[in-house]
Amino acid sequence: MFERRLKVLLILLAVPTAGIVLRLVQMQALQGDYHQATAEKMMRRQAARYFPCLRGEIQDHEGRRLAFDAPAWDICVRYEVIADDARSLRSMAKRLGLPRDEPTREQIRASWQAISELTGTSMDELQEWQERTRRRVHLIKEQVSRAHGIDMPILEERIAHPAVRGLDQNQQAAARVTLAAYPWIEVVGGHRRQYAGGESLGHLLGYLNEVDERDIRNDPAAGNDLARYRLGDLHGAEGVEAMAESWLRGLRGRQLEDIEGRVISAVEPVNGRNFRLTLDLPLQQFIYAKLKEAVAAHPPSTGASAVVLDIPSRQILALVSYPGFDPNLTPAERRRLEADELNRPTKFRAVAERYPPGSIVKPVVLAGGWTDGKVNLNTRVDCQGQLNPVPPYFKCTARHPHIDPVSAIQHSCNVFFYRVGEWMEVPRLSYWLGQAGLGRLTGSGLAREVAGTLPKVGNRGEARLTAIGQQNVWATPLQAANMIATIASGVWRPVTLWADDPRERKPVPLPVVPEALRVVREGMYRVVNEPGGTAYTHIHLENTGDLVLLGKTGSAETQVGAIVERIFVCRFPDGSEDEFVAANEVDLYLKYPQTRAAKILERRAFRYWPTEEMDPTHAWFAGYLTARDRYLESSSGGRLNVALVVLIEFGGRGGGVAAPVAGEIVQEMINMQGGTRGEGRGARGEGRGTGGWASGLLSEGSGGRVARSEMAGGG
Amino acid sequence: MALGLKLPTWHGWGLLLPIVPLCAISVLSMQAMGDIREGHWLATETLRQIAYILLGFGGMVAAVLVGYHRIGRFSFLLFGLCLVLLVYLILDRWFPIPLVEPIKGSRRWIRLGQVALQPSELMKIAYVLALAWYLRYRRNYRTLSGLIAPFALTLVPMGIILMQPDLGTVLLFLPVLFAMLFAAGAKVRHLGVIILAGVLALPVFWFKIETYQRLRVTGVFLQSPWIRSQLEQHPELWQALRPAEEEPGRWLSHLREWERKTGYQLVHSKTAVGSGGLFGQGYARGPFVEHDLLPEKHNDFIFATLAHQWGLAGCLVVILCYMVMVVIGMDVATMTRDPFGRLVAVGFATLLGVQTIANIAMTIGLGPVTGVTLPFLSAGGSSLVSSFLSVGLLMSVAQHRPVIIGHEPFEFDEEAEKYGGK
Repeated sequence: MFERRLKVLLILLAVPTAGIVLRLVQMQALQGDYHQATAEKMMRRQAARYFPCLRGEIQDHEGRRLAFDAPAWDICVRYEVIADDARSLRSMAKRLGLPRDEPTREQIRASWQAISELTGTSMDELQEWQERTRRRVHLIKEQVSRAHGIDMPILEERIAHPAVRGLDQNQQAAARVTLAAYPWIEVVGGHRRQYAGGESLGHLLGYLNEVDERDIRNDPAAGNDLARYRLGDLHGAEGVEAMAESWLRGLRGRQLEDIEGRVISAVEPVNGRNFRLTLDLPLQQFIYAKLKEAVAAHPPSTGASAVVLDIPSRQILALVSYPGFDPNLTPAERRRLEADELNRPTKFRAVAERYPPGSIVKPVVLAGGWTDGKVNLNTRVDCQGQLNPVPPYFKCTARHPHIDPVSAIQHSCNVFFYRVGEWMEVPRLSYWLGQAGLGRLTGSGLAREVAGTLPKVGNRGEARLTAIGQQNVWATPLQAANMIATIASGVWRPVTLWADDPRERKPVPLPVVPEALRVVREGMYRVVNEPGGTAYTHIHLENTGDLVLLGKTGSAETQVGAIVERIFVCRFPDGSEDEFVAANEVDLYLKYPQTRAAKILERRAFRYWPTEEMDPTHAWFAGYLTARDRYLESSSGGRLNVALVVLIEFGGRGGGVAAPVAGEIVQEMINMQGGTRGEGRGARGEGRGTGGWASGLLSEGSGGRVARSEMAGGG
Repeated sequence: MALGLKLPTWHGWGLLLPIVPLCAISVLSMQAMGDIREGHWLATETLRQIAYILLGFGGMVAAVLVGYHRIGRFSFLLFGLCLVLLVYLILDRWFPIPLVEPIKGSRRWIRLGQVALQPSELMKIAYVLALAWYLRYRRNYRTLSGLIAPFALTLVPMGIILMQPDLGTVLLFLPVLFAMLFAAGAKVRHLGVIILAGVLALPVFWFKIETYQRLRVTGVFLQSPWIRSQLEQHPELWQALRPAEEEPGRWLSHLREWERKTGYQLVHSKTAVGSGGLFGQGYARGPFVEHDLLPEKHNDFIFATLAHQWGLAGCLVVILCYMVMVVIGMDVATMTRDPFGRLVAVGFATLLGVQTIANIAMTIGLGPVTGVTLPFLSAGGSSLVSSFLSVGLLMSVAQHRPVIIGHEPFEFDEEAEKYGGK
């Protein structure tokens, strides 16, 4: 029985064996030629071919192109050469039809040398790029292999990767000739992002960066082969490019072939959609030039910012930060700018820097106090120039005996508001400032935007300072602009940069009594339009027609300026320690390259600017335009219903420094609009031209490039 | 008892000789496909393979010298040891365990510096020994309830290995179990019932395994373009089987792109085999050896590389070598009268045969793609060593013929039993 059963077992094993042998005979003897032909096709077959698409343009409100794709060429190197292992080089040689021993190491090095000389990229940078690409491809391969359970060859191992991008027409012709000797290098046509509009747009537009493995991993479109990020793709890294990434990105085209070479599917590339901003380019450039003048005219100022908002829709018409930079800078040049800690050109002051708002919060404080019942028409405060005879003094700008609420705004009396602060106390003050939009994001969508802070608790002294916008209150110029717009309209709304924003943005009414707002507005009217107003002598407007400017000045004192130089204590790998003076880490590595290898033990402040003796003060002006005959009412549309904020960093007193700039900007806006015709923007996002802003300046027509005169104004 | 060296019997030679060409082929293959660094003429893989062959050979000689019966006394101990190692591996799923690192999502190796130990390979040896030791003097496996213990002995390591996850090795245990039980004399109808139960339990099993494993199993069917087009036209079938968990709507593109994605390995393997023709492309020649077209060509798919280089002729030679070993292994079982020896022989012969069939079938699309290695040919130290040990134990059974008083083991008189005899 045992033997019989063993025989059964052998038969059971023999059956599949016979099947295997038969199958082998079928495959190798009968179908041998077919498989041989297939093998040859597999060897020669390229990976699926992809075709790039155009990235959407970023345009201003009138459709002027601010960011667009221009034709450019890239020098691409095949991955087998980057991977630098003998096996894949041999395989590549076979594929390209080279002799078996090529390419040799010398040839490869010569080819890198050629690229370096042609493009001015150093060998070190090329080396770094190689390592980066190798690393990224390995990471991707690991992910794919994990998903399949085996080592799958991936697309990125078989294609050429862009080593140097953005060659122009002449360079690419020269490159093709020089690099023809190296069949593993390809000069491929593509696009390069081009920015127009000048320095005023550097912060806002942002820039593009190569995707890294983290972006690929976190890509929401990872499942879609046509939409997902691949190595070598560029994506928006800052500003509007980043904010509108999913809108601007398009779909690549692809052609898939099966083993036979028949086309399985062919998909055309779909270009990205154009993103139209609410921005007005001529206005933006004008403001930038004016801020530049102001900063130069008022030392120790190091920068400035201005924001213009359309009140009914909260569309951002201008979002300016000075100093700016040309958005066409390369990443290396941009990094070098970061070393300038004194001027901080890469800082987007309008949304990313917090300042004490100072007196421009007084309208909100007054409206809040009125609604809470702490202040009314009969309130009078005796201001003797300061509260206390001994420090802390709690000063005011002048003496205002028996000052009433409206005049307190007009003359910006601190003592009045110290009292209001005492009556309201910090939590209530914070509440009202928060209702007006401070302490939270404005909804612009920019990643760099910060929310500022509001205090939660405070004693009496702190309450006084909070009431004048100095203690623990930090706001960005954009928040300040939205705050003024809230006062003007009685309603808080989130702001938007997108002209075709489909989202519903719900307004939140300011829970004040209507009377409070009328009082505040009267005060703000007098600031600009009546003698004694802190901006009266500094703003002179002509041709205002039926418009009037209401406003509030602010002078926010800071005890010290900003740190502009530091001492870095570094420890080197050999154990020695040393101190270096530099503005920041970027500056440190640029000035003293040896510190890259060191560990930074300590960083200490070394120099401030402005110094304490200079009495560092930020100059603010915040105001809005409305109909002259209805200025006490909440404004909601009509011609030029805009809110405006100007900040001159460390510029000095708001009245003398910021108000004149604001006046010039308003005058320009009035002139640009050209007379009394045309409506304001209202709450809709409109198409080109008619009735909108600056219709007189629409020279080049739809989709045209920025006109030369406007470019010149951009500075 | 003298440990004198004896020349192997002709059974022993029959087991030993086929190993030589197999090992030679494996070394040559490693050399053809490996990375040769500047200044050396042997690839690193070649050196590693030679080292493991020597190690395995040493193990084989040791097994023969020590004798299967002495080793057999420690069967359960070895089995337990292997279980501990397997559990150690699995624990890494929940706690970080030293020396264990998941590779491509599976935990199969314990890393000791340069060397990677694969406990599931050792488990195969220990399992056969333990099962044979358990069954050798019993009779109760002739009843249905008596089969429970052998099954438990099998299912425990299977379950743990499945958690690695390693579907291939798991699937080897069951045929070996059945072969050993069958040879020992368990009743056919009992075995039939259990097989039926297993088949009915398949759906549960189906949904417990990983997606990519399911895809590998369905790969056998999806090979055929006709079947793929049928599935395209009848989406209900696909939904019912749910071979892959994906967003609905993606399964269609999955089908269409099967050749490029899931089916990549299988399609390329078959082309590699087929393009070998009658006599192959030649040593170290052919697109599948020179280019990076076939994943896992060192280990799981080594047969395809072999077929590519040496064609049908080469394949038949290799298959012949394995057949010789299996047949002789079975014959050894009849030669000895020691029950333990008989079962050991049957177990290892079956193991060798089933593993070879599973691996080769996978490369030509006759079976699902599983991670089973080809004995003696695949790269991989643990696989080599365990193959050598199994042959060593087989040789040991062939060498030692203890004198048994009494009747032949595993002979049951079924006629007599039917009428109440024993």
